[in-house]
Amino acid sequence: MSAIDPIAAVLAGLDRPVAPRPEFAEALLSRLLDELRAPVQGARRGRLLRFDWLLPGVPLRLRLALILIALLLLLAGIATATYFGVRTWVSAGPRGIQYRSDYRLATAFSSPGNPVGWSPGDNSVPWWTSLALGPGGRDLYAMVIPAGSRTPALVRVVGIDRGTLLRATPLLDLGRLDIPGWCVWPFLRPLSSAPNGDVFFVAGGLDLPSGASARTSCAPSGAMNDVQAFLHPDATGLGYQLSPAESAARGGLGHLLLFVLHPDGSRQLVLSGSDLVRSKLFPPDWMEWQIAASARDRVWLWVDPAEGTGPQRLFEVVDPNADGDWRDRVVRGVSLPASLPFAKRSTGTFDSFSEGRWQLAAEPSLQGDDRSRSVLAAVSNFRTGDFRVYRLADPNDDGDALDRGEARLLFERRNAAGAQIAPRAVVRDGVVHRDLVVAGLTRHDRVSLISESGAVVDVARAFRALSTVLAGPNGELYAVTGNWDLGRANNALVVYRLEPVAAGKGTISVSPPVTQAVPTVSFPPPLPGGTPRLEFEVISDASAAPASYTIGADGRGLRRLVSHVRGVCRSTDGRQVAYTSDAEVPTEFFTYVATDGGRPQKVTERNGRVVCPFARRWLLLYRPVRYRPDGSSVGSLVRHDLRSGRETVVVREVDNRYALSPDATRLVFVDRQRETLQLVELDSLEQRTLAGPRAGLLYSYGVVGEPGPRWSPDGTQIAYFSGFRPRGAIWEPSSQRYAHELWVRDIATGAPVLRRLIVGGPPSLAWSSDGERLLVCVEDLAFEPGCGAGPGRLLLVDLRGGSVRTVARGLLNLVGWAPSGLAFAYATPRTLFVVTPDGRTRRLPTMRPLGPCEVECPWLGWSPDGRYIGFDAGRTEKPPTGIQVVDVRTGRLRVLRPLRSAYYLDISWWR
Amino acid sequence: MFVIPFMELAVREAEALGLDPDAFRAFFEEALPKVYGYLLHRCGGAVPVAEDLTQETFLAAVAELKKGRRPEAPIPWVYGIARHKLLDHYRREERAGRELALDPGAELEDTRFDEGGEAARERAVAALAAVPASQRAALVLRYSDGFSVPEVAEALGRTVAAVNSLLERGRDGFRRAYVEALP
Repeated sequence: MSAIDPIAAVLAGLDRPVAPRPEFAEALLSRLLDELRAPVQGARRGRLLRFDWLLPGVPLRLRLALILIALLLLLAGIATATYFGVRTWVSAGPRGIQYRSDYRLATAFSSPGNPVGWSPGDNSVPWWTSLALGPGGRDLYAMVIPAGSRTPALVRVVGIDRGTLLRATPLLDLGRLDIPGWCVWPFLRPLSSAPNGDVFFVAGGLDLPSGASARTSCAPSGAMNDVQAFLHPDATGLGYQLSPAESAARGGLGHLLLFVLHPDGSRQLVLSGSDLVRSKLFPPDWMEWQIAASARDRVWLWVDPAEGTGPQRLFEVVDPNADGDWRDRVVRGVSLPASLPFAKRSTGTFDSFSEGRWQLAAEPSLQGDDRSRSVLAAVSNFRTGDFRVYRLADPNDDGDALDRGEARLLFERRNAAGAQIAPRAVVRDGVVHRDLVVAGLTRHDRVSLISESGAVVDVARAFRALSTVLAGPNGELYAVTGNWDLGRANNALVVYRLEPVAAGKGTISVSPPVTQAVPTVSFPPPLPGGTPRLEFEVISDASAAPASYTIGADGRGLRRLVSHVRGVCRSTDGRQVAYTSDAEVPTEFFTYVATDGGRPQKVTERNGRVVCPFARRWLLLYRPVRYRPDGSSVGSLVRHDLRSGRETVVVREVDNRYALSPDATRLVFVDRQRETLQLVELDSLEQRTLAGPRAGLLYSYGVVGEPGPRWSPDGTQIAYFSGFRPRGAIWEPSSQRYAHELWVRDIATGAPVLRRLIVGGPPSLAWSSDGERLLVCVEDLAFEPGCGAGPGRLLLVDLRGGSVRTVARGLLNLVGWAPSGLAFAYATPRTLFVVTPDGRTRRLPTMRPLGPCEVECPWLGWSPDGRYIGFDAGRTEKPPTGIQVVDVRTGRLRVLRPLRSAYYLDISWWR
Repeated sequence: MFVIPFMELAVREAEALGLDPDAFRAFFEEALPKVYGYLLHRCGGAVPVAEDLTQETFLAAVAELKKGRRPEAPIPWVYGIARHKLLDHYRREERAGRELALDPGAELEDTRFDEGGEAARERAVAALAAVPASQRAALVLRYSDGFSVPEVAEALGRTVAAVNSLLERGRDGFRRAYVEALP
């Protein structure tokens, strides 16, 4: 307000000091001094918060800053101690299993034989079909078909919770059971134990025709929807087959029998399949059984019909008075919600492995936490890769798990189908802690824990052929591994025990080093005279780890680039390499990026293959989708930011028809659903359609052995083939005789630059280095795809004039352009030719005959200086193979075999 | 000159008002007339009200000192406390609905404000006591304490427009009351 405002002038004069009444002043001062001296409520708290007692005399801000620093240091210390004290990985010897340091690893049991699963083979080794821990976790029960025998036996391993390298003792020979001709399905889970020591097992099986051996084992026969019986007297070996209809007619289910073996050795029949049929609970068809005993009076059964004859069913078998006498048992069928994976099959097939798998598991009941009225079901969907764990129950006994809360989803994870669970419950300080032990969840060779909150933590890793897991009552875990290779004599089932280590008794100090150091990568030095180098990967049959090497074209200067490696990829500027390696953790491949002489930086521990080349910022990773039942190679393409580590899915599902541009900034791929050719900018992830869709049109191969579209060397054009699928035909371009069209499109505009009809079998193409010509090889269709070993034609396509002319005919193996783009080479099985575009052909004088291509497709490449042509002659299944190098000027041939007994793979010139 | 910040802070803190009784007594003797006068004039010359507010102000000051507060400028600090106590008092009055009936038709154009001296101050105090509490608070903060209108609005928890309205009406009321008090 301005000074001339009269009100302001009046009111501004109100601040004159005025002395109060003396008695008031005196009384107030007296009271204030008393207040000042007396400790009042909250004063102490205030002092505490100011930490006067801690650092008296130090200014408040400094004091608080010091206290904050101290707290941060304390937190960092706790975090460090927690990390190193609890989560450290401990190795069981060099390149052995690794486990968390709060566990102790021991080999509890080992036996020759095949692991849990079905693989009857010639039965020359024991065949372990299922495992279960006994009461208290002290004993291990197993169903095994001994070597040379045809009927299973129940065996026990005593002291599995503390002993090492134990032996199994037989309990019961199932062949002695009075059951008419039968066979058992080995891949069932026909074994489960109850808390009171009862062991439930399934015996019996199919009613075989008269004359069949009583001691016969059976197994499904691939996807033939039938059953094979072994050692049938009418045939030798794998001689007898029974269709599902026949098995149903013979009352196949009727001879599946559920027994209980009591601790005193007595046994009792609990249920026969015919009971289920008679009570119309189930059709009399072939089926699988699984059992899970959740209490002394209760067994859960899961029955899977064959041929899609009905919904999958869950049964609860109850001993009403829990007296151990199962004659008065009650069977209740439990209908499952249709929303459960595989609860109902519309077009089911026998080969249920291709669709999915169930696993039943009983939860331990502890300290009043009764879980006997429910059972866990781990469900794998192999089509989607989904893995889910449900808790199923029928508490109101209405015959279904359809009511609210009766089928509860506990856990879900993508791309983890096939994981195996074992519920674990531990009482600690009077509190029940529950979690799930899982095999193969995060990786196929890891054992993990899923907490009640759904958090996943890996406990042990680098198991070879991890099969399943078990959980003991004291927190101990068992990992069961086995060798699936039937042809080897050293097959073994191994049960590893992982015991929790009490706090403060860690094994860190006595353990071997945690992980292997990842060796540095040194690029090879230049060779005298500028001799170019070859780069290749080696697989040795001497069980040595695969490694990447370089060697000069003259056979000198062999150097190892990276060991324990799979797929080395150079950056576009040539200064870095990216690769996957299991050097750090055996059998587990992580992705690294390294510069010359530098320490490799781990990019990701997730599974994936680096797509070449890569630019400095992005790494494109191909992550295969697990379990494709049709065997096709499908995966996701993921952009990995090398600075932030952030990953973005670029293409959710792609087969092998994709290609990165030479500067690694753009991706062209074939959209599998719409069958269109798509272009993606890796920086912005903008996507546009380059071609398609057209009804029936498919985009096919680029070069022999390397399908997909092909970028021109300057990255401005893309070449690809398209073909029409004949009506009703399955897409198999290698075996169908029909025409292809060669397309070249401009990337910027998407406009076609060239379109030519190519008649003949699977074509392949190669760009000249100047991007002005294409070589197209069209094979005679009678030959194996991917290996250009058959008669065909070599076409030279001139992009400027659009002309196409045949430059060679006959048995054509390999094609490659000279770096100048002014010549190309092609190989027949015995001869190497060099051709200039004007048509002059020169035959190089010597060459080793090219062997048959049985394993990997051959390669031909011209050295960057144009002096040498290197090629791989194709390989047989037996090493050694060799790399042939021809001096173009002199015609001199050199065969390089720098390492003994080795396959040479992924050969290229080092640039 | 090279100064270590923490040391400077420590020196200043040593000079600040603390819990020492002698220092407090000196502070009290200096601050009491100022605080009492400040409050007495702003609450319409009501001695009991001014004494109550003075006592509340100093008790709050002591409580703050016991919590560890060490004001570097004790007098402005205690003025701030007094202002808050005064505003609380105005709010209480406003809630109690204490209003003074003024003659809305009084002619105010030739109001003489040019008087000086004690008589004028007493009339101003009386006139201030005659306006409603909310208007009085706005007038005091605006003209006596020199707050800007937005600062008054923030102190009173009202909008700027509302404060302008309060000031307008407060000025009218103050003029009328002041004129009425003229001899």
